[in-house]
Parts: sequence; structure tokens; C-alpha cells
Amino acid sequence: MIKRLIILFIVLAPMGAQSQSQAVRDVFDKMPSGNKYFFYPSTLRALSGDSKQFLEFVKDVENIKLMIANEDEKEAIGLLDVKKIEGALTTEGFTEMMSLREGNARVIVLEHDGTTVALLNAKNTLGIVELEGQINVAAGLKMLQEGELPIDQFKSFWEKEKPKKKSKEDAKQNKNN
Amino acid sequence: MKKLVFIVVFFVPGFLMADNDKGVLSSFFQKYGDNQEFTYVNLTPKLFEMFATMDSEEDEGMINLIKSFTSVQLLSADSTGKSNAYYKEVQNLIDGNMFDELAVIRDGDENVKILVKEANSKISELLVVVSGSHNFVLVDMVGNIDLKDLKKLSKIKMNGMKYLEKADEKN
Repeated sequence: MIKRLIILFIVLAPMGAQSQSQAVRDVFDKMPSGNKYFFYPSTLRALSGDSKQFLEFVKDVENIKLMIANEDEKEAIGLLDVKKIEGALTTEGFTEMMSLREGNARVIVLEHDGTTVALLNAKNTLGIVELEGQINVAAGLKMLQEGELPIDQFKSFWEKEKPKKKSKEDAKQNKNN
Repeated sequence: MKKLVFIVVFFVPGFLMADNDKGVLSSFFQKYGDNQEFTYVNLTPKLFEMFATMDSEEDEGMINLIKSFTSVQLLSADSTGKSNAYYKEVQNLIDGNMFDELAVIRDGDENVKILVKEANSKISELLVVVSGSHNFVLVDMVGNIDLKDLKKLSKIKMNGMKYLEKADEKN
């Protein structure tokens, strides 16, 4: 279920972010490099499988930045409470565009002044997404209607690339650096 | 919960809004939005406004349909023993709020009620309430939806929406 949320989070949540908010930048700066992913058009093409709709959906996307932290990393870098990030975004003027909660996992997308930020908070995972460029709404709609989401490709990517469990000392060391 | 509900989202023109953007059941959604028994989805007017600025030449019919939405909220519980209680609670909130019954459907162990606030063939609020032996679904769509587009809405892959096709046949 969490994987599905993450996939939804990557694919649907950010609608056209232009730049990071300060709160997002702060979180990205704290994260070890192994927890940050950058999806460029070539990466997205590789993840698309044979889905023409997905390719159409992301054709105008310049890049997607994704940060994922597990429970230990969240603790080590002081991100225990995603509400704090949400609060900081709200203080910057962000307001909710959409949210989805299932069990204790929640995705929220906020927007302010042309910047869109998506937060994923699940029991063991915190995720933040920023997208530059535009998604093709009609292609996304068609893809969802036809169930053409390249879920298997994203699952494979996630299994291969998901953050390895690091010790708190490692994470703290990274924070200090 | 079997699957995450994949949601389809879109836009809205800035005219002919419903009485309020959140619908008459906002208190119900507030009450149960954080309840772990439910999956909760909230698509706000801000989202639809943002989609309205995006151009698309594809699937114009569906896109135009979605332009007529202002907000969408969904609560869905796949395993609950309180389905009847939720159903009655929703009914109490609806009573006296000028809704017309568009269809009442019995499908297996599910009782489905589709209600609309409608004037001049335009729906300002559409409710789909599904109560089964172990499941409950509530969909609340606010906007300016053409009555003849109900069948198109049934193609949206969201819990409860399939019944709109039957409602359209009965209508």
C-alpha cells in the first residue's frame, strides 16, 4: 500500500512546481545524497515501460526531485513530525490543493504562488516531491482511466533504489557535514 | 483496504458555483476525515482552479466535464461494522437540504442512493452513498455538472462512481 502511495505521490501529486519553498530547501539540504532522487526526462522514459500515455503525461516535465527518508533518518535529521514541515509551508502561504489519507499514510499537496509541494507521510517514510515543468493533464486522465500506470517499473525502481537503512550516527554525521 | 483509490482530477470555470464549495456534508467529512477506518480524499477548489489554467486538446469531452467540478470529497471504508449507522447519519444531514433522489439501487448486499441538487438540468451537488454489509462509501461532488453527463462520470475510477451509469439509465 505504501508503495502505491509513493507511486501516486510521484506521478500525480506535483502539478507544476517552479521552485522550492524555503521549508523544502531546508529539508533537502539536511538529507544525505543517497536519499535524494532526480528524475529527468530520460529517467522518466526509462520508467515508462510501454505506456504511451505515461510518456505523453510527462513529456513537458523538466525534472522531478524526490526525497525519501526512513524512520531513523527522519529522527536523525529532526524531521519526526511532518506537521512541522506542513506548518512551515503554511506559514509561507501554502494552502491545500488535495489530500489523500489511507490508514496512517497521508499525501498532501500544497500550492502557493506557482510553487507546488507534495508531502508523503507514512509510518516509516517521509517523502517530498518537487516538479519542474508541466504535466499533461489529459494524458494523465486517460492513463488513470485506462489503468496504464507503469506501476511495475516504479516498483522495480523503488526496490533497487530505496534508501538503505543507515545508522543514526551516519545520518548525524551527514547532517553535521 | 484493498487498493488505494486512484483519483482523477481536473478544473472548473469560475461561474455558476454551488452554494458553497464544500457541500452540505462537510461536517461529516471533518468528523471522519482522520478516522483510520476510512480512506479519505479531498480535492479542493484550489486544485480545480489550477487545472483550469492548463490547456489540453485531448479527451475534450471528459476535460470539459471535469471543468464543471468545484470540489470532490470521498470517504470509503472497506471493512466496517457501522455502515448502516454512517448511512443514517448522512441521511440526517441531507434531510431538509433540498436534495432530490436520482436513483436508489440495490446491488447484491449494497444499498446505493444517488442524490442531486439540480436546477435547469444542471447539478450543483451530487452525492453517492453506498452502504453494504461491511463497506461504506460517500462521494460528494460540488460544481456545475450537466445532468446528461452522469454516464461519463461513471467512467471515473473512484469508489461508488460505477452506479452513476445505472442512475443515468433510470433517469
